[in-house]
Amino acid sequence: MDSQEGIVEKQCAMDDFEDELNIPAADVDSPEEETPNQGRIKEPIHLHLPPKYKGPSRETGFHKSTRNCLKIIRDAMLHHRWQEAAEYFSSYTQTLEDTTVSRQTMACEIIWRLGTEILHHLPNATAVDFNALYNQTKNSGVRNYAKICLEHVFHLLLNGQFDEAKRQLSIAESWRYGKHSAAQPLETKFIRAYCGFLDYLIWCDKRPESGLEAEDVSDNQEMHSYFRQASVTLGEIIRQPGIWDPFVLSYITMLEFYNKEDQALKVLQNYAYNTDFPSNPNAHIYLYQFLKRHKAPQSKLISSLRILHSLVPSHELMLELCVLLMQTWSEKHLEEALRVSMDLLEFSSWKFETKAWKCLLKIILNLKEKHCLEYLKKEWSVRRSLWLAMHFRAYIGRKDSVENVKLLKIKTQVLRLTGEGNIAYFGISLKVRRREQADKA
Amino acid sequence: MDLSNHSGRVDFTSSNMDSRFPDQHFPHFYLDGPPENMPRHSLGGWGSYDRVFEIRVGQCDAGQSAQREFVSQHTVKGEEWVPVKPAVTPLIPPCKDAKVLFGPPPDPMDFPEHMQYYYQHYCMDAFSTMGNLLCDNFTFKKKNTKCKKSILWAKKFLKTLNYKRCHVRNYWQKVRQLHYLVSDVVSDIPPSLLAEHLHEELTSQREQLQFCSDLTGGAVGYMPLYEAQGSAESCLIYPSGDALEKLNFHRVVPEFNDDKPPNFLMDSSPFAFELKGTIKQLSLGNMEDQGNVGVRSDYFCGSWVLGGKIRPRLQEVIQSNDRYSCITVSPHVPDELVVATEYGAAYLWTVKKGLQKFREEDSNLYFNAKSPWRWCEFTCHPRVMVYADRTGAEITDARNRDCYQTLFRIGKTAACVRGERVLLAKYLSESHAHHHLITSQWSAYIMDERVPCVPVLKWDHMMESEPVFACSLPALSQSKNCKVLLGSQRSQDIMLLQYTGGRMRACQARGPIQKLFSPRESLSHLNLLLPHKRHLAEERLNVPAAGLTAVQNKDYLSVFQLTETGDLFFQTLKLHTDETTTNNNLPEPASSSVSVEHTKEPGLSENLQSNTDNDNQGYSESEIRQRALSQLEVIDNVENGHSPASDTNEDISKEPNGTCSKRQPIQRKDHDLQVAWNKWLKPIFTKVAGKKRHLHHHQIKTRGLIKLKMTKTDKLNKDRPQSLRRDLQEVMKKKQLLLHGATHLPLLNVTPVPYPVDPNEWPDDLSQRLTASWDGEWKSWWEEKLGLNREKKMEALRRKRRREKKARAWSRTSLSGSFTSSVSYQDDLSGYSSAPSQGFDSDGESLGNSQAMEVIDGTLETEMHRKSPVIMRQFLKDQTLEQEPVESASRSPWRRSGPEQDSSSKQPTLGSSSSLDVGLCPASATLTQRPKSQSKLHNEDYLNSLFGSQEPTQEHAEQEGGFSFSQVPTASQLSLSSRRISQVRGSAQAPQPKKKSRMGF
Repeated sequence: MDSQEGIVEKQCAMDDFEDELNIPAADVDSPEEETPNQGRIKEPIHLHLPPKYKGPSRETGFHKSTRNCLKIIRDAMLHHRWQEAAEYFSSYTQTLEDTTVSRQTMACEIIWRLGTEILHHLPNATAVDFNALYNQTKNSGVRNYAKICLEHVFHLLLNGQFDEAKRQLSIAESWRYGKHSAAQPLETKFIRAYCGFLDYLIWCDKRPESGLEAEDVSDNQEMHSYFRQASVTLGEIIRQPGIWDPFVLSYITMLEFYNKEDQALKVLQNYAYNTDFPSNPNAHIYLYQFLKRHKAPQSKLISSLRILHSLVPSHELMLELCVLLMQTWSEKHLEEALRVSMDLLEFSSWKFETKAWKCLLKIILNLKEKHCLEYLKKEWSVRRSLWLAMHFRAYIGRKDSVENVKLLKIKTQVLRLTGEGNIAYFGISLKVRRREQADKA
Repeated sequence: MDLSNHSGRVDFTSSNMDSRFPDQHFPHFYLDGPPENMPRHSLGGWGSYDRVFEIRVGQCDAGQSAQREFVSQHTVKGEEWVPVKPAVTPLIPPCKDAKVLFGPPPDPMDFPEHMQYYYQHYCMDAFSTMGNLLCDNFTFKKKNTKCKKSILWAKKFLKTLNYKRCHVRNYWQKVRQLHYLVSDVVSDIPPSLLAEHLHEELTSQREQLQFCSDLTGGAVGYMPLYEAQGSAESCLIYPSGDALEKLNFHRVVPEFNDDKPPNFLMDSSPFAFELKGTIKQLSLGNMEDQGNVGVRSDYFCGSWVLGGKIRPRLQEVIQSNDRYSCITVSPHVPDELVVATEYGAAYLWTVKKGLQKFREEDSNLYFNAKSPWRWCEFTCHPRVMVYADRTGAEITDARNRDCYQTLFRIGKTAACVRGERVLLAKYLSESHAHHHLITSQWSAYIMDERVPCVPVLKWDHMMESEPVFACSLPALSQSKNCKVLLGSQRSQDIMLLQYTGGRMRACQARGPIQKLFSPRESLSHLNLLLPHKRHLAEERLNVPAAGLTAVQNKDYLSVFQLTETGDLFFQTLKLHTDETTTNNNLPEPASSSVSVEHTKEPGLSENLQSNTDNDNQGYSESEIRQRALSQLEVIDNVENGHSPASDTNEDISKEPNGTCSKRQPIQRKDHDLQVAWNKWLKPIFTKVAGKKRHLHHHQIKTRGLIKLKMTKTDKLNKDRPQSLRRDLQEVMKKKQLLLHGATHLPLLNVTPVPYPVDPNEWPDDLSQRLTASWDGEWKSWWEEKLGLNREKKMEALRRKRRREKKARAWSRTSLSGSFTSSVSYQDDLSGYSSAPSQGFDSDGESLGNSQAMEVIDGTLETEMHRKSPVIMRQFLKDQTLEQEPVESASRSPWRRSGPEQDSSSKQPTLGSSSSLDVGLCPASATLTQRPKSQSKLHNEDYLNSLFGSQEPTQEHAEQEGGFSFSQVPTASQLSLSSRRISQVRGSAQAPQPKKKSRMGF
């Protein structure tokens, strides 16, 4: 019932969405009449065909030649003929003289994109060229100012010009241009975030050796001011929904340094559990690692990993969860550990992982010790068909026998414990054992 | 861990790594809601790093600043794959019966014509019912029997239908009357219904031609026959036949040699299965002992199995009343497949055990995209599937139908643009166990199923049409890149995207996107064909692509592409590493090819210009010559016996090129390639040649119409044409003119030039307006007439007086100085601007000025006009136009010192006079030899106005060091081409109002 209601809601939402998307209303067919509708994908709009292209008569010669020139450049770049692209690009800069506003703003972005890419692939381009290009393009089309600034900063960072990058970022942060700066909200936020991030990196440099006393630390006023700046901006950005792994990590590092564990925990919990945020396994991992670092009780660790299990059952921390569960020695937890490890092994990325199989075997042996093999039987009955096809078919057995005999043995043991018999896998295992015995003899 | 394994697939040890999760991702906003961005341009991701983070951000220890290491989401350099041959090579002989649809797509509004054709040529189907009923009362016979009416006239009418006819002929009356009476009953299918259906059909046909989602996934596959990689025996699976209804399993043995590109040895004939429908998609599983091949047609799906020891064999076929839209073979468990129907149902199909429905949706997932297209893929877990439609993709658990989670949705988070739709989802099992590829019209996304909703990587793929084929190529070793090939239907594009990461580190795109060759481009790399053959070949090669697959081996990557006519092409790329630079055939470091010129001007520093070193010039020139040659050679391969490889090709390859450019191997023609293509094209040509031609058009005999009058005197003149021809040839050799006097032909009647119209004789309004508009001053005439420019005139007058005063104050000796200054200015502007383009400046101010000037100089002007011959009038016009922007100080056009002077002080529009620096045209050269006088100056001006645009171009080209324009080899071509360019430039320059905007940055 719930799902049906969900569908109804979805349909309602759908209509709104359609209005918003402004999709041309095509004929709505009744479901049984769903004749081939699949041609509905609109063609992508290309730049070299101007958006309001109404026949050749309306196009001036200038536009035509710039359009053709762009097409040639694009083609050359796509085929990685950078030299040819550079030749044509030198002429293409004339398009900046276009008096049409929309075209000109577009031209600025195009010139920035093409120019940087071509420069990247010319053998003797220098930092001066890059700086000149970035500076000119960001100022000529202010509509892309923030984006180009950000890219410029990235370029400097990647080329080891940290201080220059910092300087550019602070210029960009203080940049205001009426509507234009407000029209680039995301980029502006990123600029602020990276400002904080670079502050953090400077803070890292200024941070004394970890062995020193806290009093010595308090002397370093400059360092604290960097901390304050960084914590404000980073704290601001990680409140927005999104993926902020590097920012969260740096924020937490700083908070931990100043012994603000409570605040750090709060930040991490918000990052992991806030429903506005996308599901990000790293958020849970950071939280778990934080708890582990600060010696949180086992139950807390388990519960945080349980949530991770529900989101990403294939994560490698599941092995740790199994170990934790086994440590409690409670039957219920042992059963859960069995389920977790079996879930893990169903993912193809874990199929040939010896440690995961070892973990499973250990759990089963534990269960056997406690005479609770019925849990295994229960799980096995559900998963039997899949596991036989996935892990224990003859081909896999042969592969294991060639590549990883240890794994083969563990798997045989598991299979035996489940009570299966008369399976080709045993035969292969037997053959291997005989061969080994023969080798020994 | 050394994972280097030179086989086609990754070692299984690498799958261990897939369980790792990157310890940090690139920062990304998560925004709910529909996308807001509009599609803007197709130059997406170039020049962008996207995001950056520091690798060791978490474990930042003090004093480690030196080792700070940043990584970006898009890196600049990737692996460099260089095509081995300049074009694709056909792999199998063409299918002769393939139908090629060529020409404009059907227009839905053409339905009346289709109806007419139907009524006319299928009249028995269209009217038989009524005809049978009426045959008792009507007859076509002439004789009037008692109860039958003769309608012989109708026969005549029907005959005329074959021709274009007059619509008001009188027997139309009868037809019209009959039409009113019986039109609604006479045809078996009511015309309105037929029209409606035809329209619908044509619309859908048109849509199918534009984008056909049926073929999503592609219908070609390459499968190694043994799991052990040592033996390279493989199987190429593709459809053939005129409706692509024949399934072929073709054994291929690729020959991999270390230093040679792989060669594919095909068996003489494939295993073929005839199916009862077009093969729309093939999906291949992993080869173990045997491998599964899933085949999708519209209403049935089949599973084949093949292996090294067993012949391809059909396992099971399923059928449905709904069209299937997807089939995928499980990469985890043999004999498991998923299929999806357009009805919205998705099934897990275990061969011989039946279908299990795990998902059914009667609508689209996230919003109503009005598309029945559904797609299913496996994920890392064999019982969890991706269920996708145009709006997004969801991860669905087949064991529990209520358990699903969004993997991808069109929206703000993925930075989609409006109208973006999912076109293809693909599980990249070989590259990374948790990665999925999702493509849309504009972008390609890599999604990690562990981090749903947020793409871990995004490219703007820049393809011309929608990518619906994809092929993933895993990294052969840990240091290498994973690759994804995207293919489109209509434009036949193939794009190569490279990326790394997803295990220890976050995903990073490596290098810019590369476009591979498509079959339609290949003709330009072959010998020129005769037009009709070229047309045939183009038709054949222009059909949409139908599939794509690739195989990699060490440093080679071979890409196979299938077209809708069932033709298979392949191309090979070689990984360009540093070691290969020693290889003479392959790229050398491009240090000499292009360099950045550091200009000091801020506005021009991104002008990339080449050095003017000789090497470079030599290269470009030789390349140009090659191109020119390749354009010029025409090989007559009309009839079959001709040897396919022409000698000209060898000449080209012998051409000395001391400076081997980076990509030059591509430019060179390839002998083997030509042979292969000739062999491939031959059956296509012979088939058409075998067809009998029926000429349907009406023939008119012209023999009687044109009768050559052979009179007695002709005898005498018989040898005159010969002598004329001879003379002409001689003269052409010397590049001279053949004058009439030398030909001994009868004298021509010299028609006198008509007396010039005197505008003063026609004082009426209309005539004056016409005169004005003839001079291009129609607008100003009207302004004058309506008195719109009074203020301007006054202003201009005032200004003029001011200037005259000023001019008097200035000494007249500064003429030469002003001249040179304007020259230098032109040089600075890299010299495009030409006199005409400046002259016709339609700026408001200059218009006003010209208006004012004309008023003042009006009488004089007209006087000049009256007296001067035609050429003088032209000159005068130019003069006036040139003077417009400046001031009207020169009363007489012969005295130019005034404007010259002003131009230096005020506006550099007269700078084009500099173009005499280099004598370009012979005429100007002779003129400059005259003693320096004022008249010379005017001649120069006049010539400038005619030819002025040529010279700066050349100058500019020289500056650029032989780029683009100076590459034209011979002097005779120079003037022509540069003139053409200057025209383009001139027109490009025209709308530019102010010089200052050039410094736009």
